[in-house]
Amino acid sequence: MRIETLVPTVARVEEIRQETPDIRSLRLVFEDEDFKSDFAFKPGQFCLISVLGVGEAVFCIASPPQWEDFIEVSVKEVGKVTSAIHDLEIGAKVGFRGPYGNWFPFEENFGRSIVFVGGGIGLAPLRPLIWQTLSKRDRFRDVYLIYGARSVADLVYKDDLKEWSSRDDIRFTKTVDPGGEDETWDGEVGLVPQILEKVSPPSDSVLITCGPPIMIKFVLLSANKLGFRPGDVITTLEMKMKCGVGTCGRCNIGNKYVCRHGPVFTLEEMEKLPNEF
Amino acid sequence: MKTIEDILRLIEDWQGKGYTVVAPVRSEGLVSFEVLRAPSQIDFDHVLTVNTLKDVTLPRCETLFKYDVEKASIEPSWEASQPIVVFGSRPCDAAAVTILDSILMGEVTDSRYARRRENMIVVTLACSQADEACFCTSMGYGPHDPTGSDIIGLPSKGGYVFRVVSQKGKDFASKVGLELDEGRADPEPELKRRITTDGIKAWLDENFESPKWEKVSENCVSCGACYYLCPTCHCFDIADEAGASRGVRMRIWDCCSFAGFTKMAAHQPRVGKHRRYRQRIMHKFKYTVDNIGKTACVGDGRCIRYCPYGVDITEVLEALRE
Amino acid sequence: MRSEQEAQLRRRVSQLLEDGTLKVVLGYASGFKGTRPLFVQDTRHVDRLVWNEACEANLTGYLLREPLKEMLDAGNRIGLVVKGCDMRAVNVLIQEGQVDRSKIYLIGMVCEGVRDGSDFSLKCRNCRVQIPEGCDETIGTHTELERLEGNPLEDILKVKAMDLAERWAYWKQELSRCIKCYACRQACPMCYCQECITEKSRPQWIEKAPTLSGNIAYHFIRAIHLAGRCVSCGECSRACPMDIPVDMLTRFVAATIEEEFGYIAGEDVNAKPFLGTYRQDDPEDFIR
Repeated sequence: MRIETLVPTVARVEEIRQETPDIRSLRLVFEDEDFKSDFAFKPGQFCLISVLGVGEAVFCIASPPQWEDFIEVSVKEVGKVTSAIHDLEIGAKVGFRGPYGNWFPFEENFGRSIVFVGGGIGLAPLRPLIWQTLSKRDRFRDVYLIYGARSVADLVYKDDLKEWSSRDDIRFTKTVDPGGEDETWDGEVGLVPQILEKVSPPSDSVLITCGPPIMIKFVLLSANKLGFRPGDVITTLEMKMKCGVGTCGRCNIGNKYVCRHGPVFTLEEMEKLPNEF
Repeated sequence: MKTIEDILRLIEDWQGKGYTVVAPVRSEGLVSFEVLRAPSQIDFDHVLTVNTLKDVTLPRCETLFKYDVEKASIEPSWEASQPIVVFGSRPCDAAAVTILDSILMGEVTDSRYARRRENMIVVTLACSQADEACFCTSMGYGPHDPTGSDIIGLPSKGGYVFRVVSQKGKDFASKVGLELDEGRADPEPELKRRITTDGIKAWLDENFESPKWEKVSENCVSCGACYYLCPTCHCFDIADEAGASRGVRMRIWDCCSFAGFTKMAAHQPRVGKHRRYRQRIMHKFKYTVDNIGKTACVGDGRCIRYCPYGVDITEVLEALRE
Repeated sequence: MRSEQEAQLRRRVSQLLEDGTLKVVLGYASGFKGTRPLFVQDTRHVDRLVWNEACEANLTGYLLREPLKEMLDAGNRIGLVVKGCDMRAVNVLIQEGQVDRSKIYLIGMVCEGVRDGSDFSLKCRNCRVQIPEGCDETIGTHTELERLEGNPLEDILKVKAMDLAERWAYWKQELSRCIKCYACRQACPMCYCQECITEKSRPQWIEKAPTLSGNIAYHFIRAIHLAGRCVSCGECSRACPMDIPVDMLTRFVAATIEEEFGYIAGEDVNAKPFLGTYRQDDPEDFIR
């Protein structure tokens, strides 16, 4: 039983994968057996990872709930805490708080087609949902995945990508930005929103997207162009967070706290938010 | 009716019974809530303390846990708190406690805040005077308003008449043998500052974007005085105060007027002081109303009293709605 | 004299706005604490300008903050109502390349002293700049000025007279009240760093928490950062909601620099910044 809202539990770094030159994935195992057995989350939720003495930062949980013994987070080196995480070695201990926030709809979309659109490290929040969707594949109609990065070197989860490419129950299109291709590249070359329009999935599908803000902006425009309903277009928002539970007061967009009412929002909900994100 | 001497004897008695008493103490020009050493320290003559009951419930900084990097240990830090009697808070400060309760013990419970609140009894001394910054009546409260108090002492002929307000107050009174008073209270003081809040929420609902935000925030220099002294502002930061291998993680007051408040490594969603000031007004008069059904302002007037550059919240609200 | 000055100020500001010389004038209006800053852009509002004993604040810091900074950057010329003592702050900002003199229009007010509550401000004691110098125009007559007696360092001398233990106890007591609202920093015309050392996190030099040690670190470092730059305007203490005499620290450094090197920050706009100068005959006896 944890007695404090803001006090983390200890997790051990069990595995480190260098995804790209500046992105690492960490596999974490909780030390506390009770915490470990009680732990449950849904794709889309996030957590806070602490490097003790440095601080805490927010990450989405990047592994699906059915991988029960551990969780994974992917960390791009951008600031103080993320740099400290990049310096960690296998066996290091970190603090973990979570899961926090809302999650992607799942059962609600049974019987429909799903379109995943990811860019760069933005595949991280989608990854657990993709695996979850594939684990209940018969409950969905078509499943599309469009994923791109600046260059071949910037593509994350290369093993996952390989598996998804080889499966015939997911229509996977990969792309890199023009100039980001190399001689071995067998995917598309072009920006993610353009590829989305080219693939042109049926507009009665649910579209779930995550990536850099500029990509999301254009994906939303493309989704609109393709005729998707704003209520069927889903993304996650990122704001500076400290507490994760809606009390520290800094992640609000209007009266919504991204940590508590989000991070998952539909385009329909986003259209009602003031323009401050 | 209880005279000041009666009251001092009561406080001494409570202290003797193991209660920590927090009360207004004057030190040079400043009156602030402090843990009382002796009842004679209490100041009865001030309008309002500089600090608020946040110093008891959500202090300016507190240790959340201690850590040891080598041992990878995280040890929550909590000093079991004795029951605290807050004596001599004003009605506005007591009312503010109910707002923080709704926010920090509502949909999500802040465990530290909640434990402090459980242990806290609020014995208010209602106001016999108001200054030019006071505007509690405009916010729906008043100089003798009992909201948030467990027991309230109303000024009466140079002393106070004590009334029970809450069950907690009733229990406390019977536990310490506090006799309640019959007798009439003096009339409430008149407040010079008065605005109507009609239409403010409606204006804020419609005007996230308005050139008025720049105008009303002109004088603001983006310090945190109004926030830190506000009885309802509750935003905080979490930071490690580190030694090389051991240290503490702290919760520290933070403030939406600081530019770094929302700044991320790659993105700053709130650029410009007028947008930061807008957040302050929106948070108090719209977002909190949307989320808990109350305005996060009790009209205590500290932000007006202590703003070094004369930003005046009642004037701002009127200018916005105008 | 003050009411005549006030009337003349209003007339002049009205003219300067009307003929397009200035985009905005920053002066004083009545306010809760006597006065508060007023941005006048519209000639209809000039009557809100006041000039009286409550005009204690030094408004120079606004030149580097929103919205004046943006207006200056956009090429507008801005008027500022200044006292002689405020001119020292303007001069330091010019010396340090922060303000383009040609972009500001200084309206100097001949000053008979300003009050901090009921008493004249400490900064007015023995004032040598009652008639401001270096302004674009000066409002007020130069006769019948009475210099206020006393020592502007009175408070510092009192603390200096304490023995070490007493002095330490004094500062511990004062600085333990600090809540780190940074009103002192935001009020200071010289605290214009884009990123204050208190905000730096890699490494984090100063504890974020308002604990005694974190507060001491902040205020002592601030005092050192203001060495040779503090103009003793007292704005930091005036802004402090917790009544901490933080200006004593920076003014003490300023007084030491004056004593040792004869340098008074902002006294001469053409002087080089104190820490940017070196003379062969600089005393070295303080280096131990």
